[in-house]
Amino acid sequence: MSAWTQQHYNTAWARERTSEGRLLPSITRDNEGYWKSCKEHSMRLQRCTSCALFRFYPTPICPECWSRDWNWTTTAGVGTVYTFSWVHRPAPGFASLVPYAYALVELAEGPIMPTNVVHVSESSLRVGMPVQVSYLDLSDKISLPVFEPVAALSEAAGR
Amino acid sequence: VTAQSAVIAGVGVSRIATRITDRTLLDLRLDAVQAAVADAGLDHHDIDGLIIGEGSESFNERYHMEFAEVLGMFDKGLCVTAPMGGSMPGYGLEVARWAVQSGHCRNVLIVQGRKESDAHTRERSYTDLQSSLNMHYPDYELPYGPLMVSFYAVVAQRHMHEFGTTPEQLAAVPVALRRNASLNPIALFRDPISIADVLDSAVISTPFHRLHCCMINDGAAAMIVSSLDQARNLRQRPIRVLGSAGGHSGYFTGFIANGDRRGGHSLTSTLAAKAAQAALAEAGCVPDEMDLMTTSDSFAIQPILMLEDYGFCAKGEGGPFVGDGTPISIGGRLPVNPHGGSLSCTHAPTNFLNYIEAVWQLRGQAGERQIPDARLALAASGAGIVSTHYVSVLAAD
Repeated sequence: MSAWTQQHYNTAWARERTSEGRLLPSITRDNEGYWKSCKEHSMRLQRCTSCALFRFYPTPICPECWSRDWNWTTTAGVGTVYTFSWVHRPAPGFASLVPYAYALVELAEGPIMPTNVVHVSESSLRVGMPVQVSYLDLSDKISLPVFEPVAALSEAAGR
Repeated sequence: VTAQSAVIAGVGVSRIATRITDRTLLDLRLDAVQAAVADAGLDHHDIDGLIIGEGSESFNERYHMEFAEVLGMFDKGLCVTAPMGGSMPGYGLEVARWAVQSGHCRNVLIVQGRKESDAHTRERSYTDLQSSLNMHYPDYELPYGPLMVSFYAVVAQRHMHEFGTTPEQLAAVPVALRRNASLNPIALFRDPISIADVLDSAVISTPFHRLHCCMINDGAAAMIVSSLDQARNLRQRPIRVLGSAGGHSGYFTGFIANGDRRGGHSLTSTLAAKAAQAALAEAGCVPDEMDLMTTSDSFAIQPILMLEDYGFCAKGEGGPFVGDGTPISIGGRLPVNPHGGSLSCTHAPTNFLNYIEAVWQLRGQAGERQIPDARLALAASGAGIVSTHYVSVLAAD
């Protein structure tokens, strides 16, 4: 392995991971409001106070009107599957989950966000499927928002 | 300073192989540079511009300075590292021609090389390298476990949803490119494959199987951009850049999918269309006139998407255009990546051979895979999922 590659791997493995080796997001000044809301299982996104656009991922400026002001606004936690892929060869830390659904979900508020769809079978996942947020408690700081079919939720509630 | 026409005067490729252990990355890049200079028949002292791709043993963000020193290039009008990933050769060609057309440089060297085998070992995955490079958003994408393949897989899935593109049409892309590669002595994969072989290969990230995905390998390539007047006195027939343009959107797949509220672009309708329209308009050409097309093919969806965005067919018609693969094979309606592309010839350095193959075809030097009377080529490169695009129209002088 070249010095260049080695140096990069050292940086990569310096990132926090779960005990399974799954990469954990890092908390920054820009995104701490987002990760705090996820930890509380109540996902809030930045909403521009000037033009009312929701945005994701967290940034210090509205990409539409360039206002620097925003409110952390609670989302409905619902959306639809925009696209997906069933991953059969696992990324680090995902070996016990294969196949798992990597997806983009279009939130009711507008932003399209990368996520996993869970509690869904390979034969039933569809583009356009209504989904609702749930949270994976990965560490004392990080609860990762994932989505599951709305039907699966009502089914669980009915039990 | 007078306006000059820019041409590709020389091209060179190092040894390409699945893994090269007896040459450093620098050696490979130097091999490609010397091959390109020899091909052009240029005195290397006449090179006065350098554009080099990212990545080097020294991990120097300003590696262009080091590389130029190694080559003894003191006086240069342009010298830069272009961290453009898979669009590096197209970007390099575009910037080089600005430098030549403006008269600020006489001969610009564009070089890239990669030892991808180094970065992809059994122990540690490419995903780790991505996160270390802050590629693909380690805070917002990588915690969900996508592979490099998955980023393109979600584009393919969305394309299938919107336009009814089929798994068989996606499989026809690697089948056709393997057929093309079978005629290329430097291609790494030359044994024919069938649509069934592709769909029977291991599933990596749906809808992609192993054979929908490019290889990871080692190699380097270089080209020299010169003025037409000067190149006419050199060794090879000059290849004119009739038109060239770029189109850039974003890097975050959510951003690209959300798209441009004004322009209607998305994951399945990319800014390659803007680049292609501008390049073709400058060249005064229409897509139907092209004798061949080269483009990014790291994953099978890209040629389908690019056929649409470059204007060879309507949006959504890329799958039917590809059909069973025959239309994009040598001898077909529009040969795509006659060298075999990243799927069958070489991935490293990403998309560089798209330009070199176009040059060889337009010079009539493509051997067994020569497209008869090839006069016009659309050569392109893309990167950052489907966000960064360069398109050039090339013609023999």
